[in-house]
Amino acid sequence: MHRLLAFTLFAIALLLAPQSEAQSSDELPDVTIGVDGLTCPFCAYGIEKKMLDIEGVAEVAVQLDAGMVELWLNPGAVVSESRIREAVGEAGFEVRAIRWAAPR
Amino acid sequence: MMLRPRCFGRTVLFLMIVAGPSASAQITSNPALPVTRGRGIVRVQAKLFQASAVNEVSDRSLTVFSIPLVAVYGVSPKLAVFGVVPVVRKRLETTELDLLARGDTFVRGPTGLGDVRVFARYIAFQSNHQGRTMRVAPFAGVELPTGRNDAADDRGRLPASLQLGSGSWDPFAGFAFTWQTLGWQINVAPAYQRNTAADGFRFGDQARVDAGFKVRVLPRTLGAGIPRFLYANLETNLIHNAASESDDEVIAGTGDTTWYLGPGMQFITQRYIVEGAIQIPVLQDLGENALRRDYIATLSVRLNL
Repeated sequence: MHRLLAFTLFAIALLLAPQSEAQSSDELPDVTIGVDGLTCPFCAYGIEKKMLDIEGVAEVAVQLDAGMVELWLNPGAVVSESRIREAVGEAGFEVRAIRWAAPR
Repeated sequence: MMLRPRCFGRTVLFLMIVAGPSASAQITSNPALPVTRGRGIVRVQAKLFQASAVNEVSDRSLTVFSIPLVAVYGVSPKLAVFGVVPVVRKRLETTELDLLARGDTFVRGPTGLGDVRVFARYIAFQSNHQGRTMRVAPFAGVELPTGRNDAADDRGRLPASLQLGSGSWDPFAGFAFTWQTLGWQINVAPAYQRNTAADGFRFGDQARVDAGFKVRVLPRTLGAGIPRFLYANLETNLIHNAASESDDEVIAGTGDTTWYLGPGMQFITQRYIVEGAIQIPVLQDLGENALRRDYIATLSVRLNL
């Protein structure tokens, strides 16, 4: 019992260095998606994977506090709004807004 | 002294394996948060249950160590299916205290596969906003008779509560309510399990309410990207087991109600969760000669696949 408690505290101490993950590119994103329902880091994994499944998406960054997902596209790639909405929905969340860096 | 069948075995098994590993779940219960379509989560827990009782006849101590292996798959954004496979080790140590057998100690209990549980959970209602979500998800499933219920040792067949499984197909259902923001989460999950009979014996049905509240303690403010979270949790479990039956006759002294409080902590990253909790019984209404629950300790790791 004491060993179990000690191990738990030790593991937490080792991991107790909050760091951001999924750093974004230096360039501004091609698409910025407002996502509703995103409330924890573990949840963000699924939406990141679904965004990367979209053909034409090169890089993804999730901004948890702002409730946003940023996409960087491959040169010349075309991604539809419906495909983005589908991917967000498959992750279990809802699209609040979509902003494109370049006019479509 | 013959050990009467008690429901603590079923309580332990249910507590050990009811907790689904969905995104940012409570440690001891199942939340209503989504599982990404086509993706999965696995969870490995180590759980230690301790109960004991001393009277003028004997001193008994029960230790149950279990490793429930849990897998979840997102069939759709609203529907997830769960499978729980418990590996269980039970040990009941009894020291006879009567004049003729004073000091005689014996240990009984099996090790092996327990009863597997499979269930599905569907998000029936959700309300999502920036940085917060509220969801209600009913769930239903069945506990399968995969664990042995006929183990024996040199003292004869083990009592039902010491067996690895019940031998019966036992359906269960409930729902989870989850209200989560970036700073805290509230989760409430009532459930009911109907236990059927096997070999003339039937554990009493179980009704329970699991609830929990957790608050993010680190980081104090959120920056860019996906910070790692450290949560402080306080969970509670109110569990009622109806009396067991043998050949349709109620077994006197069985049936119990226990209320646990469970402080714990969770460290959550994008890819994995490490968590631990200790459940302490604050109220127990037990049958005569029942073992009093001492505590349940849980250590768990969850992994996004």
